[in-house]
Amino acid sequence: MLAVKNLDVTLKKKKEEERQEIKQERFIELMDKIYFDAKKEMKHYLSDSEVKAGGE
Amino acid sequence: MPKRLFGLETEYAIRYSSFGEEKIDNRIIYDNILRIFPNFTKIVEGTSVIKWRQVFTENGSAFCYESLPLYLQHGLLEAATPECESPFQLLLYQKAIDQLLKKSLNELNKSQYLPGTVSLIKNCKDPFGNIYGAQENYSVKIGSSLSIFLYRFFLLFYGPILGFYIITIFFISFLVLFIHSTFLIFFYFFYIIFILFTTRFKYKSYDFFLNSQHQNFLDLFERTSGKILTYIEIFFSYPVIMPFVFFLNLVLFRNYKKKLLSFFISRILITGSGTLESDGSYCLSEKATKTKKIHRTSNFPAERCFYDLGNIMKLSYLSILSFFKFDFVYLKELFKKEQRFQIGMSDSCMSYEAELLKVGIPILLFDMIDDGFLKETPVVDKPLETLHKINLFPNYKTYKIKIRNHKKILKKEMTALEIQEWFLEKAKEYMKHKKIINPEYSYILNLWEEFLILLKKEPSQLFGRIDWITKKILIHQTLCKEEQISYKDILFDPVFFDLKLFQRNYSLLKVVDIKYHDLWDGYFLQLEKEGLVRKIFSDEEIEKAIRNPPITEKGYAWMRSKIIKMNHYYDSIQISWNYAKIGSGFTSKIIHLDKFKNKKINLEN
Repeated sequence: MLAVKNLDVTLKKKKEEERQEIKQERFIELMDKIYFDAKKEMKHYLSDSEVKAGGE
Repeated sequence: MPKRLFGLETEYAIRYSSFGEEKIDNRIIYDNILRIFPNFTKIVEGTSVIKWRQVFTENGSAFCYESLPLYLQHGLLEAATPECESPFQLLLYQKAIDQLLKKSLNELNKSQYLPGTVSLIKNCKDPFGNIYGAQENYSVKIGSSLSIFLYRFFLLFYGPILGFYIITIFFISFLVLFIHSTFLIFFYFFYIIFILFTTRFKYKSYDFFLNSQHQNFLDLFERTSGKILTYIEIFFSYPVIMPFVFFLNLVLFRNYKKKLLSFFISRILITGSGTLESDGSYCLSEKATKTKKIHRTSNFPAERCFYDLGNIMKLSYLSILSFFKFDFVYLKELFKKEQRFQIGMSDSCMSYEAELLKVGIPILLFDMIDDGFLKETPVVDKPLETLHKINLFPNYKTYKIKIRNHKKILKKEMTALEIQEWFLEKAKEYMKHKKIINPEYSYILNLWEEFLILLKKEPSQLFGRIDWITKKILIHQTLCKEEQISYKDILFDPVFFDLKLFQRNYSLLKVVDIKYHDLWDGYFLQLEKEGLVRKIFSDEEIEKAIRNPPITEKGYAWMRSKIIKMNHYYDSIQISWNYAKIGSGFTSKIIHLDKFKNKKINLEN
């Protein structure tokens, strides 16, 4: 019974690690995308985002 | 726990990429976004005369165009959630507003009705340091019986003075506007003549107006003369508004303001959405650096105060204006024991959990104060200075805040994290002492505790959960790619304390900062799509909330929604937060939503 429980915990841990790895991979891919997008947007993005009517 | 109402007001910056084409007035963009709304939800026009085309949607939310008088074409889109009674409900309706705007942007940009691309940015500070953004509203008791008596007595005494002032200011504003416009027309005329003569008629008529150098000069002149006129207006309004505001600050919400200031100052380490400054430093909150006052002292929009009174002031004006029309709805509202406590020092959160804690913790703390549980809290010495200090990364962990007790005696020093821990412990004690079994509040307390532990030990684990951390990591990653540098710790590596590196790459990194909040193709949305953000609601739940109001005991959202859904029965319906106007002209009928609730008036007959 204890062995089955331990196996269950190990499997869960492994699954969590795999999930984290997938997330890490996705993050690395997305970071590349964000970096190139920000480079592309550098020229106009900031000037187009000016809010002169800042008030609340 | 008593039911109380609360809501969020969020200003979205309107961004238009024209790809070299002519810029478009933001009012036109706002109208175009609203034009798409009926594809997703029913809408009804608002009755408000103050704001530019206000609409209410099927779930009871409101949308309007907000701008300063001198920058009408550069305004923002403001959205207000329906009145909610639980923090989860409020978060859901805030997300429903975001989702409706995202869908409308998709449709608008696909339709190619406008030559450029429109997006909305849910943040509080633009790249040039202009401030706008979010505001929190909590319906709470004004104060003790004495405070309520004084408040009502003052309103009765000061009402006629305020009424006289409003009528006078209308005439003064008209006069000032007339003088300003006449002056500008003359100035433009002589300026154009002068330029044409000095350049020997080199310009064709339209060339002159397209010349950006002249445009900038005229813009600057218009702005400067506008500022002078604003100061004239301040001069006239201060003698009347100052005593009014001073008294309101003195009697309204005293207990909450005093006891919770240290909490609100230190909570930026959870609710801050992060901002990169031009000197390369990084701040936790977008609004904190620009917060100049604890209390509002005038009726001008650029006050940047911590605690706001805007709603009471608007309500006072509306009461006086509607009084002359024999409409006493607003007046009745103004004299109520419960009023809206407004927090101006509030960032627009993209993260679900940060937004939940932003509204959830204060509600619990209000209950604790009402129950007499929070008798003494840490009092921060020099609150604004402290706010600015802890706002600067990484001071939240190390900066020692001087704490006094309520007798103003210096007691000890605490970090922002320790202040948050103090309030957390008190909240846990309260739940235990009162034997409160409330799954929502248990969830909020656990989340609060988890956040504080992680902030202390491993803040980078809060990626996708707290905005300033998520954004800082994105900025650091971008910097590493650009400069090809390696690091050991993504937040605290010594390489990230070299401000020159950030200064050198400021434009690139600032794009990451601002685009994180973009509702069209922003980086937070991309993180969410990739499953890198901790979500609380499913897409289906958010979709459902776009069309259905929150079910509350006290609020009018459900009744408002019912009237909006029945819009097709009538030729014309206009709606506001408190009442609906059916029909137009002399035959119009006003339905007060509170009466509708109590008497169950059947609108269909």
